[in-house]
Amino acid sequence: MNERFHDDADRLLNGLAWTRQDTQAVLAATKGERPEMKKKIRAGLVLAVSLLLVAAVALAIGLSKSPEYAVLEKARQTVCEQYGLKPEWLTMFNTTTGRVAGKQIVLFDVTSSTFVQPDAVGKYTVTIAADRQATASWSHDNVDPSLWQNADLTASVWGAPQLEQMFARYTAYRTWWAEHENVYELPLAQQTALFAELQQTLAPLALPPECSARTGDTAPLATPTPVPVPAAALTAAKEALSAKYALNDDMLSLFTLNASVDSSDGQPVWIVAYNPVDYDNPGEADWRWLDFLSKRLGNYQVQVRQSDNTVVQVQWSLEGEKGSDTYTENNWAQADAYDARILPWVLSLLRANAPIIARYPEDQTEWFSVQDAAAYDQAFRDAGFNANVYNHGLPQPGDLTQEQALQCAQQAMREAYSLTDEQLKPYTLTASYLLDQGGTWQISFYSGDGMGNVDLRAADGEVQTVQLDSGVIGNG
Amino acid sequence: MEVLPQPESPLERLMAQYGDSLLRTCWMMLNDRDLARDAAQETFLKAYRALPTLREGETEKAWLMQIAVNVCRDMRRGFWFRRIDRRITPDDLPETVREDERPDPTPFLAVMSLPAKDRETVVLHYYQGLSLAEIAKLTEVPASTVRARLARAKKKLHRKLEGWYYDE
Repeated sequence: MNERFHDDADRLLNGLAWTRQDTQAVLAATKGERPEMKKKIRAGLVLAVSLLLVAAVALAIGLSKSPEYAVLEKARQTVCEQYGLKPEWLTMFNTTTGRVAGKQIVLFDVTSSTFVQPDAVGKYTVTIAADRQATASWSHDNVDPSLWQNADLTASVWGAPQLEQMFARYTAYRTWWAEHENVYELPLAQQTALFAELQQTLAPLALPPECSARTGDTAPLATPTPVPVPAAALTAAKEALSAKYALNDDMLSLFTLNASVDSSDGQPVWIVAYNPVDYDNPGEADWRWLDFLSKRLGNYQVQVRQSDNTVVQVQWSLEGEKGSDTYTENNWAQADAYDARILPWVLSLLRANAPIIARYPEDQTEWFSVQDAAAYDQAFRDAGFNANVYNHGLPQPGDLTQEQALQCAQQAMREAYSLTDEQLKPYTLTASYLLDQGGTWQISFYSGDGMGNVDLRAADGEVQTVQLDSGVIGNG
Repeated sequence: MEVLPQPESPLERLMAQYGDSLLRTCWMMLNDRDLARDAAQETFLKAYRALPTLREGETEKAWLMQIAVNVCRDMRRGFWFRRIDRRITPDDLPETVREDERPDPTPFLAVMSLPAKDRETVVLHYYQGLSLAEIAKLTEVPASTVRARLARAKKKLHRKLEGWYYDE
């Protein structure tokens, strides 16, 4: 996805360009305050260090497979057999599939990084005909093989020998970081020595840009300074919201208060604004819910004259949207605007799920247990939320148990990427049971520098997807 | 595209080197052409003032993005920003210089429809090419949180984009 998203974004936004006027505007703003440069600035553009993977993969003996998964497995096997690649090297490749004239096309390419350069690696294309016959081609097929057969990593074309060398270095790099994850806490001289040692291991490949001695501090995020609004003005604003929209303090707890002063017409007024709970608030973790909620809560604004605390205007941004009259406790989620009739139900839902959220670290809904995720989503479904989105449930009688699903997923991952038990050890596994397609176990794999997932049909364990993103190269 | 003059100072070099991509990143975070331009200019101005704090060896792209993320977050917190419906349709995309080169916007729009924090992570990772560790550092959240955001973004995109980037 990496390169394609980047390219699509650049092509779609190429009408948006930095201009001479922009440069001049910034330079004008800096006039009179040019500071001395204290440090040399790095000139090089930082290469994308992420090696995206995305390959879907082979299947394990004893595991059944979906047709889509089988196509990718076939492509993977074909390119490995034809060009002498190893399955684990393909974790460094992006995979794109398509269909042309009734044939399945699978493309393997890499994203530019310290470890691989797209021009040198080239692209592998596998064509699978309706009769399952597969052929692979390489964009460097016409290149003289002597260019790459010597395993030289400085060669302009990389074949299997170079990929093997590169992957060995990449593995060493990951191991190094596992052993030195606290490197930035060491004295700078020690960091420098360690990075020099790592450079020797990676040579002739360059050290990734993040591998340089530095102190670990970061400037704190800028936060807006709240304007304190006098109690009398705030009381007037709340009374106005109660009178016009029947809002009470409990309902207003769904909003954050922002106040400012507007003196534009000569009569200073307090602008008392209630905006939906900030989506940057780290305590509010569920992406499915927050965006949805903000749009339906809308924004309230009250203007209070500073001189005598008289309310001069009361507004709601969702004024005139489809009202709440026809909705009940069981389908209120579908309303376009959540007014005072609906807000108590919103609060009830939040409060019902609060104990579940409290059991998990901040912003980590991904780690809900199967039971908690099912209860959490059921509460949303009961309120009329989209069952395709709030789709966690509990396994049905006859389905694989969670333990069985975890074992199947590990087996699938092991076999798809030729991983050893030792290599799988750093991964933390989480299980989700989704109600999609009659029940799906989705097993997620997380580690310090990789993540992936295996989807299994719950009824019989058929592998739907296996993917592993080993592209998280860095110090974290 | 306009030909910019040869950069003469570190700030001019930064603008010449990162101007387009930073402006587009701001647009992807703010969904508004004018706000994005304001944010990009503000970012370079703040970068200029903070140049002496750029440590040798620090990746200047990640450093610039940290400033840009904070500027865009400040703008998103603004009242008027939040009053406006910022859902993007194909018509909202900036006019492309060469219409015939315009790719199908479906996958891009799917990314743009992600919640702000997840979109921010996706843009920094997939558009700016920053590692998760760099994103964790510049957004000041644990690396595990960045991973979780990226994972759920990918999960959501997977459902929307089957047959696009995500049919693997």
